[in-house]
Amino acid sequence: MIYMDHYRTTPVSPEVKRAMEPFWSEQFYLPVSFTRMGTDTAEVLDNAKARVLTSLGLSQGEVIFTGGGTAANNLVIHGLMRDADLSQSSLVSTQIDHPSITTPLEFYRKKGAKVSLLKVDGEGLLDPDRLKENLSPQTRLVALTWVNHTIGSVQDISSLVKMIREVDDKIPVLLDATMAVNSMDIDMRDLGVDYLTLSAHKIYGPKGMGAIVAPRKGGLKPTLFGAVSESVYWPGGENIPGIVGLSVALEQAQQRTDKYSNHTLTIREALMKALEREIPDIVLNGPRGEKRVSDNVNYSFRFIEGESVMMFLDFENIVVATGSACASSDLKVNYILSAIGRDHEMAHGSLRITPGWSNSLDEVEPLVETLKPIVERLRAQSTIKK
Amino acid sequence: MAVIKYTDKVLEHFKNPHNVGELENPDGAATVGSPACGDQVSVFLKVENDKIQDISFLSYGCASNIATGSIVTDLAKGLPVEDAKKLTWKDAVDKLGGLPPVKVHCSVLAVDGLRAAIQDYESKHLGISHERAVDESFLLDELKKVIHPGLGVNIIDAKLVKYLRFQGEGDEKPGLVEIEISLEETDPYRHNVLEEIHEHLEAIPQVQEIDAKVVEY
Repeated sequence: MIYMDHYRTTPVSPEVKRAMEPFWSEQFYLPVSFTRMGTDTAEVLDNAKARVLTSLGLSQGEVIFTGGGTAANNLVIHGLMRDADLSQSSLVSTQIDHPSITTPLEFYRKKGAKVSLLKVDGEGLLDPDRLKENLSPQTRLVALTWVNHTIGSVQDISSLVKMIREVDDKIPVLLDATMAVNSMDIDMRDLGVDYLTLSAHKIYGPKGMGAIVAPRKGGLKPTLFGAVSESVYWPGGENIPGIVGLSVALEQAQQRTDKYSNHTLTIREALMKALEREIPDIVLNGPRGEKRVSDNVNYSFRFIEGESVMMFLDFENIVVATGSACASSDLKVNYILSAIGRDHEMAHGSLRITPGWSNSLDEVEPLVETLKPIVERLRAQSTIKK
Repeated sequence: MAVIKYTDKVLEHFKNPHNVGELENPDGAATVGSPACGDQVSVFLKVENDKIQDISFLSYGCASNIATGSIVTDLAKGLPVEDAKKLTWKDAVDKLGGLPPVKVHCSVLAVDGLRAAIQDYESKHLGISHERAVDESFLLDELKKVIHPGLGVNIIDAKLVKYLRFQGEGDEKPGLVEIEISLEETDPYRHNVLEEIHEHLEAIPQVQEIDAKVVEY
């Protein structure tokens, strides 16, 4: 099988799996004070937090473990907005941010807040001047995503944050680093963001685990309520195996970002070259070169629809993703491809191919050789002709 | 979450569709749907002695679009034109062993393509006009082509359309369609249903303006 859908999810790495193993059935107790079993677990939890902070260049700060990246983004947004006067609140993000950011923002728009989802250019990049124009004393949040999850565009986060800080040092900045953790060396001392969010299952960790990392404590209001445990923001029994898994996955990812980038970049470049050589009428979605992340390839295949392509590849044991509305659970046209100016036909005919650790350069040729006749055949039977 | 899966029959017709291609000098031909809504089908017919002697299709769309094009053309081939007109999307879906509700609209499109090709044949060769007065009952029939993807049922039979008014010649705003449709806030297909309503109504030349309101009952 050729698995090139690592942006959907990744397998748990053997090291992460091993690190999680003791906490299922052996050391299964929760961090209960004044008991030996409990304090042992509390120590495991503290170590996991320290591992998360250190991996991101921090010696202190707050780590909130959540039930995934979506929950992490939601907790930051709702935590900032809970007591805000919505008529006096402005929230800023981009048109191509993840639904876990744009949908909560849309929720506050309906409730009366001013929400600006900023336009990006044809490559999915945000112009710092456009961001600047949309900041005001009422800005309660700027939410940015480092690496886009569909088209792999890499925002110039340091310039964007520097500009925000020049305008107003107090504006809370949320950075979704989910798709950046594998390939970018992250040092939160330099980044200057208030909240960084990530998801474990995109970095060879377990599903259902995410985290919010903040250099300074406080700032957020709790939005989930219950028996307070390790964190006031995520009450209830702690997911110890998940927390350990996330911390080890993050540590591993950050230790080998160079190796990962080189590995995936080699595959990306070979894949793009072969696709552009072998298959006519394809259009790259997202930037070329350094503004594109190393592990993302996304093309629109003209005149055909992506679900059909994806399924024919699946028959041949090749796993990729499509932006076609037909294959999406809500039948909506892909909003990111629309935002960068692709029409419906182009969006429906898009494939996202995302290599990862499990892939090798040897897989590029069979993938392209399999894809080529599929595209030719579907084009021959399509109502849309060149 | 429901896993969306195709039957073996659908996969068979998707992998090796029957009757694919364009017929030369067809007696009737039509293209329905649009790339904007994600699927489009063209149907070509040859008619001899009032029977569909040959039929073919082209498809821009997903697996179910291709499979329904294949099965509908199979079903129509050799049938008297009058019988082919009576084929329904349910016939196509049954023949395929079922379709996921989210894909039922593809079968509606394929049958629509067949009917449009037959109408094209009838108007070109038999001089039969298919023009119908555009009124509320006509619009309700058109809206029967909009399938709610979660239910796999059209929005009229699913009783989602609560109000429809069309203003004709002599009314205050000729060409205005006012429609109220009941869709829950949690309905993931809210957006899709509204888009489909717009696409179907906008295709009617007499419709100038659409005022669609979502209501929750």
